[in-house]
Amino acid sequence: MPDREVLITAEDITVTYGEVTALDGVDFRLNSQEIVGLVGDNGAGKSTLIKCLSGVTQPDSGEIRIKGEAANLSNPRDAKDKGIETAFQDLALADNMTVTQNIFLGREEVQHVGGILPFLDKGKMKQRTEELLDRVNIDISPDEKVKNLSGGERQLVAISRTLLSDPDIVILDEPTSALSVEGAEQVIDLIEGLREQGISIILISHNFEIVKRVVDRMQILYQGTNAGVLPSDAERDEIVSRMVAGQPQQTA
Amino acid sequence: MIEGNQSIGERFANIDSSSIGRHAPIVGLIGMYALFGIYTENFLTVSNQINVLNQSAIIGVLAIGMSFAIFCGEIDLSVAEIMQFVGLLIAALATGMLMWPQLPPLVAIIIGLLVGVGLGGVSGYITSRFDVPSFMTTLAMLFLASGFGLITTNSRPVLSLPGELVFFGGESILSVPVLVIVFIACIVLGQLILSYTRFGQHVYAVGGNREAAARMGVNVMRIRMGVIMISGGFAALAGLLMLGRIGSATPTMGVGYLLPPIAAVVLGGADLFGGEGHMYGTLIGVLILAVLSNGLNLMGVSTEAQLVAQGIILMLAVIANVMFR
Repeated sequence: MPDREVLITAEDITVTYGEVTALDGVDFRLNSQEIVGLVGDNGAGKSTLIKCLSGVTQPDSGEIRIKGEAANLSNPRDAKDKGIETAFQDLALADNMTVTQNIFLGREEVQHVGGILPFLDKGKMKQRTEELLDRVNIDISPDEKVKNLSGGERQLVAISRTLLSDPDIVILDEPTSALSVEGAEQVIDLIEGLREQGISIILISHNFEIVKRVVDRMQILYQGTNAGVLPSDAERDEIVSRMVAGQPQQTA
Repeated sequence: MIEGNQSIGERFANIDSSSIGRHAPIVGLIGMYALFGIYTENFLTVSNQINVLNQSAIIGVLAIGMSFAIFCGEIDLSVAEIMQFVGLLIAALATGMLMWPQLPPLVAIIIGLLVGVGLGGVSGYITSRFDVPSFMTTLAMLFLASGFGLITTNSRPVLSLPGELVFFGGESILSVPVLVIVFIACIVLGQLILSYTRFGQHVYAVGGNREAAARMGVNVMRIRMGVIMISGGFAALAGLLMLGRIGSATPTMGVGYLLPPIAAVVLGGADLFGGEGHMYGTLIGVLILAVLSNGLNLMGVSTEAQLVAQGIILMLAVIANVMFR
Protein backbone atom coordinates (compact mmCIF):
# COMPACT_ATOMS: atom_id res chain seq x y z
CA MET A 1 0.00 0.00 0.00
CA PRO A 2 1.49 3.38 -0.96
CA ASP A 3 2.30 5.85 1.81
CA ARG A 4 -0.68 8.03 2.50
CA GLU A 5 -0.60 11.63 3.60
CA VAL A 6 -1.48 12.07 7.26
CA LEU A 7 -4.51 14.39 7.34
CA ILE A 8 -5.33 14.54 11.05
CA THR A 9 -3.34 13.73 14.14
CA ALA A 10 -4.78 14.32 17.58
CA GLU A 11 -2.39 13.74 20.47
CA ASP A 12 -3.12 13.42 24.15
CA ILE A 13 -6.57 15.02 23.90
CA THR A 14 -8.25 15.62 27.25
CA VAL A 15 -11.70 17.11 27.73
CA THR A 16 -13.47 17.61 31.04
CA TYR A 17 -16.99 18.81 31.77
CA GLY A 18 -16.90 19.96 35.38
CA GLU A 19 -16.05 16.88 37.44
CA VAL A 20 -16.51 14.50 34.52
CA THR A 21 -13.54 13.57 32.31
CA ALA A 22 -14.99 12.82 28.87
CA LEU A 23 -11.65 12.21 27.16
CA ASP A 24 -8.41 11.36 28.93
CA GLY A 25 -5.26 11.53 26.82
CA VAL A 26 -6.77 10.15 23.60
CA ASP A 27 -4.73 9.90 20.39
CA PHE A 28 -6.20 9.69 16.88
CA ARG A 29 -4.91 9.60 13.31
CA LEU A 30 -6.55 9.76 9.88
CA ASN A 31 -4.73 9.31 6.58
CA SER A 32 -5.81 10.47 3.15
CA GLN A 33 -8.43 8.34 1.36
CA GLU A 34 -8.90 6.29 4.48
CA ILE A 35 -12.04 5.35 6.37
CA VAL A 36 -11.47 5.06 10.09
CA GLY A 37 -14.16 3.73 12.37
CA LEU A 38 -14.50 5.25 15.81
CA VAL A 39 -16.10 2.61 17.96
CA GLY A 40 -17.14 2.45 21.57
CA ASP A 41 -20.05 1.95 23.91
CA ASN A 42 -22.30 4.80 25.04
CA GLY A 43 -20.24 7.30 27.03
CA ALA A 44 -16.95 6.09 25.55
CA GLY A 45 -16.10 9.59 24.29
CA LYS A 46 -16.71 9.15 20.57
CA SER A 47 -18.94 12.18 20.20
CA THR A 48 -16.65 14.32 22.37
CA LEU A 49 -13.64 13.50 20.19
CA ILE A 50 -15.67 14.32 17.09
CA LYS A 51 -16.79 17.61 18.59
CA CYS A 52 -13.11 18.49 19.13
CA LEU A 53 -12.26 17.65 15.52
CA SER A 54 -15.22 19.61 14.17
CA GLY A 55 -14.60 22.72 16.27
CA VAL A 56 -17.69 22.41 18.47
CA THR A 57 -15.71 21.66 21.64
CA GLN A 58 -12.19 22.79 22.51
CA PRO A 59 -9.95 20.29 24.35
CA ASP A 60 -8.54 21.24 27.75
CA SER A 61 -5.17 19.91 26.65
CA GLY A 62 -3.57 18.09 23.75
CA GLU A 63 -2.82 19.04 20.17
CA ILE A 64 -4.67 18.66 16.88
CA ARG A 65 -2.64 18.87 13.69
CA ILE A 66 -4.15 19.03 10.23
CA LYS A 67 -1.87 18.10 7.34
CA GLY A 68 1.06 18.51 9.72
CA GLU A 69 0.16 21.99 10.94
CA ALA A 70 -1.11 22.74 14.44
CA ALA A 71 -4.80 23.69 14.19
CA ASN A 72 -6.79 25.80 16.60
CA LEU A 73 -10.38 24.73 15.90
CA SER A 74 -12.20 27.26 18.05
CA ASN A 75 -15.54 26.99 16.20
CA PRO A 76 -17.19 24.93 13.43
CA ARG A 77 -16.20 27.54 10.87
CA ASP A 78 -12.48 26.93 11.60
CA ALA A 79 -12.95 23.21 10.98
CA LYS A 80 -14.79 23.84 7.71
CA ASP A 81 -12.02 26.19 6.61
CA LYS A 82 -9.54 23.36 7.22
CA GLY A 83 -11.59 21.04 5.01
CA ILE A 84 -13.42 19.13 7.75
CA GLU A 85 -17.20 18.74 7.43
CA THR A 86 -19.44 16.93 9.91
CA ALA A 87 -22.85 15.29 9.67
CA PHE A 88 -23.98 15.17 13.28
CA GLN A 89 -26.08 12.39 14.74
CA ASP A 90 -29.08 14.68 15.16
CA LEU A 91 -28.47 15.85 11.56
CA ALA A 92 -28.88 19.55 12.48
CA LEU A 93 -31.58 20.08 9.87
CA ALA A 94 -34.30 22.72 10.06
CA ASP A 95 -37.49 20.77 9.27
CA ASN A 96 -39.39 23.90 8.28
CA MET A 97 -36.98 24.68 5.45
CA THR A 98 -36.35 23.15 2.03
CA VAL A 99 -33.53 20.81 1.10
CA THR A 100 -31.72 23.65 -0.70
CA GLN A 101 -32.14 26.04 2.22
CA ASN A 102 -30.74 23.42 4.62
CA ILE A 103 -27.77 22.56 2.44
CA PHE A 104 -26.80 26.22 2.11
CA LEU A 105 -27.75 27.26 5.64
CA GLY A 106 -25.04 29.61 6.88
CA ARG A 107 -23.31 29.59 3.45
CA GLU A 108 -25.97 31.10 1.20
CA GLU A 109 -24.89 32.28 -2.24
CA VAL A 110 -25.72 35.91 -2.98
CA GLN A 111 -25.70 38.10 -6.06
CA HIS A 112 -25.50 41.86 -5.81
CA VAL A 113 -28.59 43.34 -7.44
CA GLY A 114 -27.69 46.67 -9.01
CA GLY A 115 -24.17 46.05 -7.81
CA ILE A 116 -25.19 46.83 -4.24
CA LEU A 117 -28.02 44.80 -2.69
CA PRO A 118 -26.89 41.30 -1.65
CA PHE A 119 -29.88 39.16 -2.64
CA LEU A 120 -29.89 35.36 -2.49
CA ASP A 121 -28.88 33.63 -5.71
CA LYS A 122 -31.65 31.03 -5.54
CA GLY A 123 -31.03 29.66 -9.04
CA LYS A 124 -27.37 28.95 -8.37
CA MET A 125 -28.13 27.32 -5.02
CA LYS A 126 -30.83 25.11 -6.50
CA GLN A 127 -28.57 23.98 -9.33
CA ARG A 128 -25.74 23.15 -6.93
CA THR A 129 -28.17 21.28 -4.68
CA GLU A 130 -29.31 19.15 -7.62
CA GLU A 131 -25.65 18.28 -8.30
CA LEU A 132 -25.07 17.30 -4.68
CA LEU A 133 -28.24 15.20 -4.55
CA ASP A 134 -27.10 13.43 -7.72
CA ARG A 135 -23.74 12.81 -6.11
CA VAL A 136 -25.34 11.02 -3.15
CA ASN A 137 -27.77 9.27 -5.51
CA ILE A 138 -31.03 10.48 -4.04
CA ASP A 139 -34.08 11.40 -6.08
CA ILE A 140 -35.81 14.23 -4.23
CA SER A 141 -36.73 17.78 -5.14
CA PRO A 142 -34.41 20.55 -3.92
CA ASP A 143 -37.61 22.44 -3.07
CA GLU A 144 -39.01 19.71 -0.83
CA LYS A 145 -39.34 20.63 2.82
CA VAL A 146 -37.17 18.46 5.05
CA LYS A 147 -40.12 17.64 7.32
CA ASN A 148 -41.62 15.66 4.41
CA LEU A 149 -38.56 13.39 3.97
CA SER A 150 -38.00 9.87 5.30
CA GLY A 151 -35.23 9.14 7.84
CA GLY A 152 -32.92 7.81 5.13
CA GLU A 153 -33.52 10.79 2.88
CA ARG A 154 -32.81 13.19 5.75
CA GLN A 155 -29.54 11.38 6.45
CA LEU A 156 -28.50 11.65 2.81
CA VAL A 157 -29.39 15.36 2.77
CA ALA A 158 -27.20 15.86 5.84
CA ILE A 159 -24.34 14.02 4.13
CA SER A 160 -24.80 15.89 0.86
CA ARG A 161 -24.54 19.13 2.83
CA THR A 162 -21.07 18.08 3.99
CA LEU A 163 -19.99 17.84 0.35
CA LEU A 164 -20.89 21.44 -0.49
CA SER A 165 -17.41 22.77 0.21
CA ASP A 166 -15.60 19.84 -1.47
CA PRO A 167 -14.01 18.77 1.83
CA ASP A 168 -10.98 16.53 2.34
CA ILE A 169 -12.48 14.96 5.45
CA VAL A 170 -16.07 14.07 6.31
CA ILE A 171 -17.09 13.02 9.80
CA LEU A 172 -20.25 10.91 9.98
CA ASP A 173 -21.70 10.58 13.48
CA GLU A 174 -23.91 7.48 13.77
CA PRO A 175 -25.18 7.80 10.19
CA THR A 176 -27.12 4.52 10.28
CA SER A 177 -28.47 4.51 13.82
CA ALA A 178 -31.98 5.71 12.96
CA LEU A 179 -32.31 3.94 9.62
CA SER A 180 -33.97 0.80 8.33
CA VAL A 181 -31.76 -1.98 6.95
CA GLU A 182 -32.38 -0.68 3.45
CA GLY A 183 -31.55 2.87 4.46
CA ALA A 184 -28.37 1.75 6.21
CA GLU A 185 -27.24 -0.14 3.10
CA GLN A 186 -27.79 3.00 1.04
CA VAL A 187 -25.60 5.03 3.42
CA ILE A 188 -22.85 2.37 3.41
CA ASP A 189 -22.81 2.36 -0.39
CA LEU A 190 -22.53 6.14 -0.28
CA ILE A 191 -19.59 6.02 2.16
CA GLU A 192 -17.71 3.67 -0.17
CA GLY A 193 -18.52 5.95 -3.07
CA LEU A 194 -17.15 8.97 -1.23
CA ARG A 195 -13.84 7.22 -0.61
CA GLU A 196 -13.57 6.51 -4.33
CA GLN A 197 -14.04 10.25 -4.84
CA GLY A 198 -10.95 10.85 -2.68
CA ILE A 199 -12.64 11.85 0.56
CA SER A 200 -11.36 10.58 3.89
CA ILE A 201 -14.03 9.59 6.39
CA ILE A 202 -14.31 9.20 10.12
CA LEU A 203 -17.26 6.92 10.82
CA ILE A 204 -18.65 6.88 14.33
CA SER A 205 -20.92 4.10 15.41
CA HIS A 206 -21.66 1.83 18.31
CA ASN A 207 -22.63 -0.84 15.75
CA PHE A 208 -19.21 -2.24 14.88
CA GLU A 209 -20.67 -4.85 12.49
CA ILE A 210 -21.60 -2.04 10.13
CA VAL A 211 -18.31 -0.24 10.73
CA LYS A 212 -16.26 -3.36 9.93
CA ARG A 213 -17.76 -3.57 6.46
CA VAL A 214 -16.38 -0.29 5.21
CA VAL A 215 -13.46 0.88 7.35
CA ASP A 216 -9.72 0.37 6.90
CA ARG A 217 -9.23 0.21 10.64
CA MET A 218 -11.10 0.84 13.87
CA GLN A 219 -10.09 2.94 16.81
CA ILE A 220 -11.82 1.80 19.97
CA LEU A 221 -12.58 4.08 22.89
CA TYR A 222 -13.47 2.94 26.38
CA GLN A 223 -14.62 5.39 29.06
CA GLY A 224 -12.74 8.27 27.48
CA THR A 225 -9.47 6.42 26.91
CA ASN A 226 -7.76 4.63 24.00
CA ALA A 227 -8.65 0.94 23.95
CA GLY A 228 -6.65 0.07 20.86
CA VAL A 229 -6.62 0.27 17.09
CA LEU A 230 -7.72 -2.86 15.22
CA PRO A 231 -7.86 -3.85 11.56
CA SER A 232 -11.28 -4.17 9.95
CA ASP A 233 -11.01 -7.96 9.94
CA ALA A 234 -10.42 -8.17 13.71
CA GLU A 235 -12.29 -10.89 15.58
CA ARG A 236 -15.68 -9.95 16.97
CA ASP A 237 -14.78 -11.08 20.51
CA GLU A 238 -11.62 -8.98 20.44
CA ILE A 239 -13.59 -5.87 19.50
CA VAL A 240 -16.29 -6.51 22.10
CA SER A 241 -13.69 -7.09 24.82
CA ARG A 242 -12.04 -3.76 24.13
CA MET A 243 -15.39 -1.98 23.90
CA VAL A 244 -16.81 -3.26 27.17
CA ALA A 245 -13.64 -3.78 29.22
CA GLY A 246 -11.13 -1.50 27.56
CA GLN A 247 -8.52 -4.25 27.16
CA PRO A 248 -7.62 -7.14 24.82
CA GLN A 249 -9.46 -10.44 25.08
CA GLN A 250 -8.06 -12.62 27.88
CA THR A 251 -6.96 -15.98 26.59
CA ALA A 252 -7.17 -19.10 28.78
CA MET B 1 -61.43 19.21 -15.56
CA ILE B 2 -60.27 16.48 -13.20
CA GLU B 3 -56.81 15.07 -13.91
CA GLY B 4 -56.43 11.32 -14.35
CA ASN B 5 -59.12 9.08 -12.99
CA GLN B 6 -59.53 10.87 -9.65
CA SER B 7 -63.04 11.92 -8.73
CA ILE B 8 -63.68 15.27 -7.07
CA GLY B 9 -64.24 13.40 -3.79
CA GLU B 10 -60.88 11.65 -4.07
CA ARG B 11 -59.11 14.91 -4.82
CA PHE B 12 -60.61 16.50 -1.73
CA ALA B 13 -59.64 13.44 0.30
CA ASN B 14 -56.03 13.81 -0.89
CA ILE B 15 -55.70 17.41 0.28
CA ASP B 16 -53.16 17.32 3.12
CA SER B 17 -53.73 19.12 6.40
CA SER B 18 -50.87 21.60 5.91
CA SER B 19 -52.48 22.69 2.64
CA ILE B 20 -55.72 23.41 4.49
CA GLY B 21 -53.82 25.40 7.10
CA ARG B 22 -51.95 27.33 4.41
CA HIS B 23 -55.08 28.41 2.57
CA ALA B 24 -57.47 28.85 5.49
CA PRO B 25 -56.69 32.58 6.08
CA ILE B 26 -57.33 33.67 2.49
CA VAL B 27 -60.44 31.47 2.27
CA GLY B 28 -61.69 33.05 5.50
CA LEU B 29 -61.05 36.56 4.19
CA ILE B 30 -62.83 35.85 0.90
CA GLY B 31 -65.73 34.39 2.86
CA MET B 32 -65.99 37.58 4.90
CA TYR B 33 -65.94 39.72 1.75
CA ALA B 34 -68.75 37.60 0.29
CA LEU B 35 -70.77 37.73 3.50
CA PHE B 36 -70.48 41.47 4.07
CA GLY B 37 -70.82 42.17 0.33
CA ILE B 38 -74.18 40.42 0.33
CA TYR B 39 -75.54 41.69 3.63
CA THR B 40 -74.40 45.35 3.55
CA GLU B 41 -74.84 48.01 0.91
CA ASN B 42 -71.62 49.97 1.11
CA PHE B 43 -69.04 47.37 2.10
CA LEU B 44 -67.60 46.77 -1.37
CA THR B 45 -67.35 50.43 -2.41
CA VAL B 46 -63.88 51.78 -3.19
CA SER B 47 -64.12 54.44 -0.52
CA ASN B 48 -65.01 51.85 2.11
CA GLN B 49 -62.16 49.56 1.05
CA ILE B 50 -59.71 52.46 1.35
CA ASN B 51 -61.27 53.13 4.73
CA VAL B 52 -60.62 49.50 5.73
CA LEU B 53 -56.96 49.81 4.72
CA ASN B 54 -56.65 53.15 6.48
CA GLN B 55 -58.10 51.72 9.69
CA SER B 56 -55.82 48.70 9.56
CA ALA B 57 -52.56 50.36 8.54
CA ILE B 58 -51.18 51.19 12.01
CA ILE B 59 -51.92 47.72 13.35
CA GLY B 60 -50.49 46.44 10.07
CA VAL B 61 -47.18 48.24 10.48
CA LEU B 62 -46.92 46.92 14.05
CA ALA B 63 -47.79 43.43 12.78
CA ILE B 64 -44.99 43.54 10.21
CA GLY B 65 -42.41 44.04 12.96
CA MET B 66 -44.16 41.44 15.11
CA SER B 67 -43.99 39.00 12.19
CA PHE B 68 -40.18 39.12 12.18
CA ALA B 69 -40.19 38.31 15.90
CA ILE B 70 -42.77 35.50 15.69
CA PHE B 71 -41.23 33.90 12.59
CA CYS B 72 -37.99 33.71 14.59
CA GLY B 73 -39.70 32.11 17.58
CA GLU B 74 -39.73 35.32 19.64
CA ILE B 75 -42.42 37.81 20.61
CA ASP B 76 -42.45 41.54 21.28
CA LEU B 77 -44.87 42.74 23.93
CA SER B 78 -43.52 46.30 23.94
CA VAL B 79 -44.68 47.46 20.49
CA ALA B 80 -47.68 49.51 21.64
CA GLU B 81 -45.70 51.35 24.30
CA ILE B 82 -42.72 51.95 22.01
CA MET B 83 -45.15 53.34 19.43
CA GLN B 84 -46.67 55.61 22.06
CA PHE B 85 -43.32 56.75 23.46
CA VAL B 86 -41.78 57.46 20.06
CA GLY B 87 -44.88 59.35 18.95
CA LEU B 88 -44.72 61.52 22.06
CA LEU B 89 -40.94 61.96 21.71
CA ILE B 90 -41.10 63.07 18.08
CA ALA B 91 -43.95 65.46 18.87
CA ALA B 92 -42.19 66.87 21.93
CA LEU B 93 -38.88 67.35 20.08
CA ALA B 94 -40.50 69.02 17.10
CA THR B 95 -42.70 71.38 19.11
CA GLY B 96 -40.13 72.43 21.68
CA MET B 97 -42.01 70.81 24.53
CA LEU B 98 -39.00 68.72 25.52
CA MET B 99 -36.18 71.11 24.67
CA TRP B 100 -35.80 74.60 23.27
CA PRO B 101 -35.33 75.51 20.50
CA GLN B 102 -37.41 72.81 18.89
CA LEU B 103 -35.75 70.45 16.43
CA PRO B 104 -36.60 70.42 12.72
CA PRO B 105 -39.37 67.81 12.18
CA LEU B 106 -37.15 65.61 10.00
CA VAL B 107 -34.46 65.48 12.70
CA ALA B 108 -37.10 64.70 15.33
CA ILE B 109 -38.43 61.88 13.15
CA ILE B 110 -34.97 60.37 12.64
CA ILE B 111 -34.23 60.55 16.36
CA GLY B 112 -37.58 58.93 17.15
CA LEU B 113 -37.06 56.07 14.72
CA LEU B 114 -33.55 55.45 16.05
CA VAL B 115 -34.85 55.43 19.62
CA GLY B 116 -37.42 52.77 18.63
CA VAL B 117 -34.73 50.62 17.05
CA GLY B 118 -32.52 51.19 20.08
CA LEU B 119 -35.18 50.14 22.57
CA GLY B 120 -35.80 47.01 20.52
CA GLY B 121 -32.05 46.47 20.50
CA VAL B 122 -31.90 46.61 24.29
CA SER B 123 -34.63 43.96 24.61
CA GLY B 124 -33.07 41.92 21.84
CA TYR B 125 -29.58 42.07 23.32
CA ILE B 126 -30.74 40.92 26.75
CA THR B 127 -32.89 38.21 25.17
CA SER B 128 -30.13 36.79 23.02
CA ARG B 129 -27.08 37.45 25.21
CA PHE B 130 -28.54 35.98 28.39
CA ASP B 131 -31.04 33.63 26.73
CA VAL B 132 -33.95 35.27 28.54
CA PRO B 133 -37.38 34.64 26.96
CA SER B 134 -38.33 37.63 24.82
CA PHE B 135 -41.70 37.45 26.52
CA MET B 136 -40.03 38.72 29.69
CA THR B 137 -37.57 41.24 28.27
CA THR B 138 -40.15 42.93 26.09
CA LEU B 139 -42.63 42.91 28.98
CA ALA B 140 -40.04 44.86 30.96
CA MET B 141 -39.56 47.16 27.97
CA LEU B 142 -43.33 47.69 27.88
CA PHE B 143 -43.16 49.28 31.33
CA LEU B 144 -39.96 51.19 30.53
CA ALA B 145 -41.31 52.71 27.31
CA SER B 146 -44.60 53.54 28.96
CA GLY B 147 -42.75 55.41 31.71
CA PHE B 148 -40.43 57.17 29.25
CA GLY B 149 -43.49 58.38 27.32
CA LEU B 150 -45.13 59.89 30.38
CA ILE B 151 -41.84 61.51 31.48
CA THR B 152 -41.23 62.96 28.01
CA THR B 153 -44.37 65.10 27.99
CA ASN B 154 -45.03 65.19 31.71
CA SER B 155 -48.17 63.07 31.08
CA ARG B 156 -49.65 65.78 28.86
CA PRO B 157 -50.77 65.51 25.21
CA VAL B 158 -48.89 67.35 22.47
CA LEU B 159 -51.24 69.32 20.23
CA SER B 160 -50.68 71.59 17.19
CA LEU B 161 -48.15 69.40 15.43
CA PRO B 162 -46.09 70.70 12.48
CA GLY B 163 -47.45 69.71 9.07
CA GLU B 164 -44.46 67.43 8.32
CA LEU B 165 -45.36 65.22 11.29
CA VAL B 166 -48.93 64.65 10.20
CA PHE B 167 -48.11 64.12 6.52
CA PHE B 168 -47.33 60.40 6.78
CA GLY B 169 -50.40 59.46 8.78
CA GLY B 170 -52.90 62.07 7.70
CA GLU B 171 -52.41 63.08 4.05
CA SER B 172 -53.34 61.38 0.79
CA ILE B 173 -51.72 61.05 -2.63
CA LEU B 174 -54.20 60.60 -5.52
CA SER B 175 -56.93 59.87 -2.96
CA VAL B 176 -54.89 57.04 -1.42
CA PRO B 177 -53.84 57.76 2.18
CA VAL B 178 -50.06 57.97 2.62
CA LEU B 179 -50.61 55.74 5.64
CA VAL B 180 -51.85 52.94 3.35
CA ILE B 181 -49.00 53.45 0.88
CA VAL B 182 -46.46 53.21 3.71
CA PHE B 183 -48.16 50.05 5.03
CA ILE B 184 -48.16 48.27 1.66
CA ALA B 185 -44.56 49.36 0.99
CA CYS B 186 -43.52 47.93 4.37
CA ILE B 187 -45.26 44.61 3.63
CA VAL B 188 -43.37 44.30 0.34
CA LEU B 189 -40.08 45.35 1.95
CA GLY B 190 -40.57 42.88 4.79
CA GLN B 191 -41.21 39.95 2.46
CA LEU B 192 -38.26 40.92 0.28
CA ILE B 193 -36.00 40.79 3.33
CA LEU B 194 -37.42 37.43 4.44
CA SER B 195 -37.33 35.75 1.03
CA TYR B 196 -34.25 37.19 -0.61
CA THR B 197 -31.64 37.92 2.05
CA ARG B 198 -29.39 35.78 4.23
CA PHE B 199 -30.89 37.48 7.26
CA GLY B 200 -34.39 36.42 6.22
CA GLN B 201 -33.32 32.81 5.70
CA HIS B 202 -31.65 32.81 9.09
CA VAL B 203 -34.81 34.18 10.75
CA TYR B 204 -36.73 31.10 9.55
CA ALA B 205 -33.83 28.78 10.42
CA VAL B 206 -33.49 30.09 13.98
CA GLY B 207 -37.27 29.96 14.37
CA GLY B 208 -37.40 26.38 13.09
CA ASN B 209 -34.37 24.84 14.80
CA ARG B 210 -32.13 27.18 16.77
CA GLU B 211 -29.59 24.45 17.57
CA ALA B 212 -29.26 23.37 13.95
CA ALA B 213 -28.82 26.97 12.83
CA ALA B 214 -26.02 27.49 15.35
CA ARG B 215 -24.28 24.28 14.25
CA MET B 216 -24.36 25.50 10.66
CA GLY B 217 -22.59 28.73 11.58
CA VAL B 218 -25.60 31.06 11.82
CA ASN B 219 -25.03 33.81 14.38
CA VAL B 220 -28.15 33.01 16.39
CA MET B 221 -27.59 35.83 18.87
CA ARG B 222 -27.43 38.42 16.09
CA ILE B 223 -30.59 37.10 14.45
CA ARG B 224 -32.61 37.00 17.71
CA MET B 225 -31.46 40.50 18.58
CA GLY B 226 -32.09 41.69 15.03
CA VAL B 227 -35.74 40.64 14.86
CA ILE B 228 -36.62 42.44 18.08
CA MET B 229 -34.73 45.53 16.88
CA ILE B 230 -36.73 45.43 13.66
CA SER B 231 -39.94 45.10 15.66
CA GLY B 232 -38.93 48.17 17.67
CA GLY B 233 -38.20 50.03 14.44
CA PHE B 234 -41.62 49.29 12.97
CA ALA B 235 -43.25 50.24 16.29
CA ALA B 236 -41.45 53.58 16.08
CA LEU B 237 -42.67 54.05 12.50
CA ALA B 238 -46.20 53.30 13.71
CA GLY B 239 -45.70 56.03 16.32
CA LEU B 240 -44.91 58.53 13.56
CA LEU B 241 -47.93 57.41 11.51
CA MET B 242 -50.14 57.67 14.58
CA LEU B 243 -49.34 61.40 14.87
CA GLY B 244 -51.00 62.04 11.52
CA ARG B 245 -53.82 59.58 12.10
CA ILE B 246 -55.06 61.31 15.26
CA GLY B 247 -53.52 64.75 14.64
CA SER B 248 -51.78 64.90 18.02
CA ALA B 249 -49.67 62.87 20.44
CA THR B 250 -51.34 61.59 23.57
CA PRO B 251 -50.02 59.53 26.49
CA THR B 252 -52.75 56.93 25.87
CA MET B 253 -52.47 56.50 22.11
CA GLY B 254 -50.92 53.04 22.45
CA VAL B 255 -53.83 51.60 24.40
CA GLY B 256 -55.33 48.60 22.62
CA TYR B 257 -52.50 48.24 20.11
CA LEU B 258 -50.55 45.33 21.63
CA LEU B 259 -52.76 42.31 21.00
CA PRO B 260 -54.21 43.03 17.52
CA PRO B 261 -50.79 42.82 15.79
CA ILE B 262 -50.10 39.47 17.48
CA ALA B 263 -53.59 38.29 16.53
CA ALA B 264 -53.06 39.41 12.93
CA VAL B 265 -49.83 37.42 12.58
CA VAL B 266 -51.51 34.30 13.99
CA LEU B 267 -54.58 34.80 11.80
CA GLY B 268 -52.21 34.99 8.84
CA GLY B 269 -51.11 31.42 9.46
CA ALA B 270 -47.75 31.93 11.21
CA ASP B 271 -46.50 29.19 13.53
CA LEU B 272 -46.57 30.59 17.06
CA PHE B 273 -43.40 28.62 17.81
CA GLY B 274 -41.48 30.12 14.90
CA GLY B 275 -40.14 29.00 11.54
CA GLU B 276 -43.31 29.41 9.46
CA GLY B 277 -45.18 32.40 8.07
CA HIS B 278 -44.93 35.18 5.54
CA MET B 279 -45.83 38.84 5.19
CA TYR B 280 -48.71 38.20 2.81
CA GLY B 281 -50.24 36.05 5.53
CA THR B 282 -49.77 38.91 7.97
CA LEU B 283 -51.49 41.25 5.49
CA ILE B 284 -54.42 38.83 5.29
CA GLY B 285 -54.53 38.59 9.08
CA VAL B 286 -54.60 42.37 9.41
CA LEU B 287 -57.37 42.59 6.80
CA ILE B 288 -59.41 39.87 8.52
CA LEU B 289 -59.44 41.93 11.72
CA ALA B 290 -60.22 45.17 9.90
CA VAL B 291 -62.87 43.71 7.57
CA LEU B 292 -64.60 41.98 10.46
CA SER B 293 -64.78 45.21 12.43
CA ASN B 294 -65.81 47.30 9.44
CA GLY B 295 -68.41 44.83 8.18
CA LEU B 296 -70.01 44.34 11.56
CA ASN B 297 -70.13 48.11 12.04
CA LEU B 298 -71.93 48.48 8.73
CA MET B 299 -74.37 45.78 9.81
CA GLY B 300 -75.04 47.75 12.98
CA VAL B 301 -73.62 45.12 15.32
CA SER B 302 -72.77 46.47 18.78
CA THR B 303 -69.15 46.89 19.96
CA GLU B 304 -69.66 44.20 22.59
CA ALA B 305 -70.83 41.67 20.01
CA GLN B 306 -67.90 42.62 17.75
CA LEU B 307 -65.47 41.68 20.51
CA VAL B 308 -67.18 38.29 20.84
CA ALA B 309 -66.93 37.77 17.07
CA GLN B 310 -63.23 38.70 17.08
CA GLY B 311 -62.63 36.26 19.93
CA ILE B 312 -64.37 33.43 18.07
CA ILE B 313 -62.43 34.11 14.86
CA LEU B 314 -59.12 34.18 16.72
CA MET B 315 -59.95 31.00 18.62
CA LEU B 316 -60.71 29.23 15.35
CA ALA B 317 -57.45 30.51 13.90
CA VAL B 318 -55.44 29.20 16.85
CA ILE B 319 -57.09 25.78 16.54
CA ALA B 320 -56.35 25.73 12.80
CA ASN B 321 -52.78 26.83 13.57
CA VAL B 322 -52.24 23.71 15.69
CA MET B 323 -54.40 21.16 13.83
CA PHE B 324 -53.50 21.84 10.23
CA ARG B 325 -49.77 22.41 10.48
